[in-house]
Amino acid sequence: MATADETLRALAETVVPGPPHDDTLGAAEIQAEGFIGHYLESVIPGLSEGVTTILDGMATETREGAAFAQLSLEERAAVLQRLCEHEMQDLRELGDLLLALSLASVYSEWSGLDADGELTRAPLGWELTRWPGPADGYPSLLRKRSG
Amino acid sequence: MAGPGGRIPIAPSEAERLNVRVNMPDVLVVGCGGGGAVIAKELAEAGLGVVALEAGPWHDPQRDFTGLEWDMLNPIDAVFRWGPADRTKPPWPRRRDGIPLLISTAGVGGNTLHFGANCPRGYPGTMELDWPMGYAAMIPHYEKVEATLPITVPEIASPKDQLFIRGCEKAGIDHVADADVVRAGWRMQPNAILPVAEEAPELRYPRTDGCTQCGQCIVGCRSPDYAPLERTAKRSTNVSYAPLAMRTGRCEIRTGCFATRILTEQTREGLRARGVRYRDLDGRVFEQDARIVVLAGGAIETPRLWLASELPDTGSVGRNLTTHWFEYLSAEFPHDVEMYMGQTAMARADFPGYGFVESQGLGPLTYAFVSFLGRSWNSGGEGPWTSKGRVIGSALKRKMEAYRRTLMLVVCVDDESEPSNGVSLADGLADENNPAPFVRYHPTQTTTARREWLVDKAAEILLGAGAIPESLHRADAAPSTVHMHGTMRLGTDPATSVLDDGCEAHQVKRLFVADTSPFPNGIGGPNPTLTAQALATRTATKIVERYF
Repeated sequence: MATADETLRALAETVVPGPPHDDTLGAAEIQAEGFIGHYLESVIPGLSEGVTTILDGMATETREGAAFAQLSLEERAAVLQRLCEHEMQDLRELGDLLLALSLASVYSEWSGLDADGELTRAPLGWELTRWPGPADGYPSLLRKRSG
Repeated sequence: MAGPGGRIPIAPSEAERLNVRVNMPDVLVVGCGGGGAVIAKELAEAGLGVVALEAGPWHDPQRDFTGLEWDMLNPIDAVFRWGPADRTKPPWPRRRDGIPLLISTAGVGGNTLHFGANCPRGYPGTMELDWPMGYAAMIPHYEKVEATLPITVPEIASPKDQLFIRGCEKAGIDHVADADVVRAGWRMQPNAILPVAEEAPELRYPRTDGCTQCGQCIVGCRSPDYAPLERTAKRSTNVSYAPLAMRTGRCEIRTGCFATRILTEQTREGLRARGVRYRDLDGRVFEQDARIVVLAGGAIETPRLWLASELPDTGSVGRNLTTHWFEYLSAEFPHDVEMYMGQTAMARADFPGYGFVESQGLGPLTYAFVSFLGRSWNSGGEGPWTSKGRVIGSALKRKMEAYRRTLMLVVCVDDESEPSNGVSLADGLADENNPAPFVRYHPTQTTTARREWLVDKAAEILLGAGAIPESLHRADAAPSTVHMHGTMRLGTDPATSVLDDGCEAHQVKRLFVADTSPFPNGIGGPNPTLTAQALATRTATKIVERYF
């Protein structure tokens, strides 16, 4: 069976795919499982393993004996949707959290931070969106100098 | 307390210099956010001794605000979150039904720390319906707040807002610039932001003084670079009202202090407030007496504290929550839009009877969060939008690649007051302070119908502005508490309201409320901050009139 890291990476890739599923880089290429795992553990210690168990359990409903990380991209997307639409509120909220963390791993500043938390390179999401990052201001929108 | 590099902010040096010790306050204010800081300043200027308790820290914009979206805004450990100042500690928990995301920021400034600074007045027609004092009585207080913050209506719109305005004109919406909204129209926003600065080679204070149009409003304004606290461009109350309160020499702000119980005493005339019990950051418990207690913790925390204090309730405490149930529509254009330039929202279109629509500029992560995490999955087709709800995978990547060419509109609806929507205490969930709040919100059919009208209008505006029709996306957003009001409604009848028209509790004398919870309705849909601040200004005059 797959590890928590492999499972979280497969989850993140489902939300923000990279090659070969998509032409540009995605969550797997920036090891998003590190970001997602960190925040799952900060919410509840042990939650990464718990998520793996839940996703693997739902994967078996799709294909007998398959771990979540072994499903195709489409099959994983279907599992994620089933989780987010589950009749139990706690599982729906878990699905929402996994979706949000996957999105944030790519489109936040995280992948541009070094080990000390300093922004030292362009985060993947800023490159994908061509956002120049936070600015001090935009001179073209200021009042013209008088005199 | 830890300093820079640690996880607990130290108050700005200006705040520390101004803060005084007030040992025997006339008034104790619980919460130093959008309303609490206002009433603290008004009462201190009237000559009263004030202590304001604030659960969160006092941030230093120059030192603490990084402009990074996840670092500043995530609900788990961000700078702006509902949790203790020590970001290594977990956030304070809440339970929810129908309203997945509750947005509150602890700290001096409260939710004005992360707001977009829009400060329109309430719609007179809606306020005349349920506000016993009526709209005209609020005008002098609106004017005072507008002058104090101050409010500026920008003269030039950023590119995204210019596009929005073009769409409004194409949709036949008139330009109506009045502060008192009696008919539908678009206008430039009355924003609690200093006037736009003059261009300069380097955007640093003092050469640059005022708004630099950096678009960071929601992520925490620290513009211009090197600005002293009170010259920070966005007028959150931590840079406006709170320093003004302390300049009187009669107001003390105690941060890291979480109120846990309203203390009362029984008299011949009935129950009256006498103080507050609170915990500090180290868990030490204090009781602070005062002649008057003002609750200003916001529409979730104020009723929570009332209920946890086991104060009498005739059936309205915590009820009738309104949230303006936001919706977000976005579309791509054949040219750059660059929504991240300029103030977050510089133009708006008001529709009395329904609510309002405005253009909003967000960073890529926040834009993705509000647009692609809606309720349904890849649905769409029943309106002019080709996609609706959650978008993941390659479809998400294509949307995000188009970010620079995207315009996003926000819809806020005048949602109905429904007694079953509101705040109670959660069973079996608590933090170190009290049982956690349980927040429930489900929209009514009338609310839904008004919102659909606005959504159609927003789509019309986007298409009129030149949006690529196949790119129109509707978020299908679940309710949230970006705006929240109504849970301690004011009214003349104690059987159906919590507060009288001076915002004093019917059942507990000397206990007042100065946040958004007294609103008897959703004021017609517009952003609530200015109305809460005007009401707090008015309530200060009532406190002085009745007790001093």
